[in-house]
This record gives sequence, structure tokens and C-alpha cells, in this order.
Amino acid sequence: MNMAKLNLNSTVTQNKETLSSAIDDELVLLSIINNKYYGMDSVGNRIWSLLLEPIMISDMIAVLTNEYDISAAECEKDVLSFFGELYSDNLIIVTDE
Amino acid sequence: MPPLKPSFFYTAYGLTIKSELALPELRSIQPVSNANITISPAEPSDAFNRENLNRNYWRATAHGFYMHIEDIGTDFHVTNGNRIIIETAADTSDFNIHLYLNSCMGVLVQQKNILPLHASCISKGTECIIISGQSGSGKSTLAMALNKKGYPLLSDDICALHFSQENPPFVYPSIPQIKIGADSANALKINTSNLNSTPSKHIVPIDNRSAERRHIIKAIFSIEQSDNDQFKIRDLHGSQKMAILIKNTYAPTELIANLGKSKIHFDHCSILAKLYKVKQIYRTSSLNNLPDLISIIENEFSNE
Repeated sequence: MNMAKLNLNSTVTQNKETLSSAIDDELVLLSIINNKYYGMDSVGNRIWSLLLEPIMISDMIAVLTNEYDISAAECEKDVLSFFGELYSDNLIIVTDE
Repeated sequence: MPPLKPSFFYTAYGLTIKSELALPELRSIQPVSNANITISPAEPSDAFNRENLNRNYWRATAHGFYMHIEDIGTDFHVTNGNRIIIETAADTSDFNIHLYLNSCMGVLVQQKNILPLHASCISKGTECIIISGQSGSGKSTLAMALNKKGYPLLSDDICALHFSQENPPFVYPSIPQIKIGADSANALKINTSNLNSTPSKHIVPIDNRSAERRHIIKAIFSIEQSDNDQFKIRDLHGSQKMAILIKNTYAPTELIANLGKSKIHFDHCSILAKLYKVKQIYRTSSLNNLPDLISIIENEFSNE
């Protein structure tokens, strides 16, 4: 489990050990590391595709605020919380880029 | 030279079986020279590590599966998707061994990258409908009712799905029997007086020669008892479809992972979720809704 905290300047990307499958507009992930399944709705699906390449969290928030009806402040809070979970479960990794 | 032991030949799950143990509940076939599966006692050359725990125990790795059943003093080994080895004292009843062979088959088919769903399955022509669910969900009662109306049975407990690059998934017949409880047997007017039983279920042999071929899937249902005793049916979407297929696989997630089959299992469930409708049925506790359930399945065969 990753205990370090993420911040707006963290660059994150998918952990390639994660299996994913898009069904309708939703996404299911399986972490081979911890053997847990995750179901995501269409927003989660969009976020996962944005994580294909390393992306700084602040850039992610900019994209999402543009695409969805959400304030920057609320988006920042939700993303940091959501990514915190994905990170501690090893679904995403921090890169140095 | 030791006396030759008789061999029995069967087919189940799309595989041929050569067994030194008689398995009359399986569908018999003419002897074949290269059966897909052999079921036999241990050879002297089989060197197994045994844990001497005085309880039921299983262990699975990518190299094989081992299960010890304390009550009947029997060890089962399942290796390479082609061998089931049974070590037991001479006086263990065959019937008790049979009860555990299902679990062994559930593991063996995974070793061959065949997906075992915990499901009943009935067919019409070349198509079939899968009715998945946990024990006690009502899938067997529904399958029995449909079988009595003339729909051949493909499976009651383990439904085996074969995947390939070139074809859609195929379902092959499993074991021609259905296990149902006393209430269902009564409601369906089945005479249980001469049947084998487990502590909770009667085992009804099914004669369905017409279901011997492979089938393509028309639709997948999941059935469970309703929390609030309301009858309901709904289409599942997206991640819910995957969740149900994973939940209704005939193996816990831990076992799938230990066998090294997590990725292939995930891929197989994804294929099913992308190709087929998956509908969730919530049934009431009474059997009064059985005619409605039967209609739902029958109508599904008629849908485009």
C-alpha cells in the first residue's frame, strides 16, 4: 500500500498490471496485485483513459473542469480523494516525468 | 502382473473422460484412445506433498490443485487440465467421492481455460440460455420446470463455456442431472422415491440425448431470491454485468488467482458482457411465480 500522499503536482499514470474492460460506457478494472475489482461509471472511464499516459493531476483537473459541469475546487477535492484511493490500491503509479 | 482394471468412458463439459471409477451420472461414450481427462488412483510415481491437517483443506497453484476432505479421508489432485487423481481408503463409498468430483471438474476446466459458471442452462435448437445463480437461488427449479416443458438440459451446476479466437463462446453439455429440493420436487410433481440424494437435494437424472452438441448463447440471466419478496426483472448494464458474471463463476476469486487464471477469467467475462444481454431476476420465495419465470425464459428465445 502506498502511504505517500498525492498533490496537484504529482504526475500519475495507469499501473500497467491493471486489467481493464469497457462494457457499454462503464469500466471494470481488476488489480492483479491485490485481486480486487473496481467498477466505474462513464466519468471514471474517461478519467482512466486520460491516465493512459503520464499526466499531472493539475492538468487532469483542467481537462475535467472543461468537460464536465463541475467547479475547479470541487473537482480538485474529488480527484485528489479518488486518486488517493487508486494510488493506495496500486491501480495508478506516480512517475517522475 | 496386476489384474487389468476396467475403464469407463464418458463425456462432459465438451471433454472426454477415461475413469477407473464408475460415474454413472455422466453420459457414457464408446472407448476413446486419447481421452481429454483421466480419473484414477495415485501412481507410485506421483509424489505428493501432503499437509496432515485434520480438516478439509485445499491448495491451488499454477502447477495444480489439491483438496483434502477429512470426513471421507480422501485426497483429490487436479493437474494440467487432464488428470484427476483420487487417493482414498478402500471402503470409501463411490457416492461420497462423486459429490466432490464437481469441485475437481470446476478446477480442471479452468486449467484448460474453459470458463465454469455456476449456472443452469437449457437449450432450444442450437441456442441456449444460461441461468446463473448461487446455491438456493432457484436456478435448478427453473431449469427443471423448463426441462419438463421440453427444453433439453445443458447444465445444472457447472456450465462450461469454451472460448476461441475464431468462434463465439460455445456451451457444451455438463452432467445430465438436476439437483432440487423437496418443495420444488413437490411443486413439479417429481417422484423422488427412487432418487439419490444429498442431505438437502434430490438428484434427478435427465434424459436429453438431443442436447449432446455444442450450443451458442442467446442470453444470460442471473437469478436470486428477492430481499423484499417482490418479483422483479431488470437489464444489467456496464460494470454490473461483469460483477454478476464474476460473482457467478464456479470458483472464488482467490482460487482463480491461485491457479494463475485471473487474466483469462477477466477476459472471458468481458467477452460475455460485451456480447450478451445479462438480466437480473429477483424471484419471490413462493413457487407461484414459476409460470412467469418460465415465460420470461421462453420469450427470450423468441427475441431477436
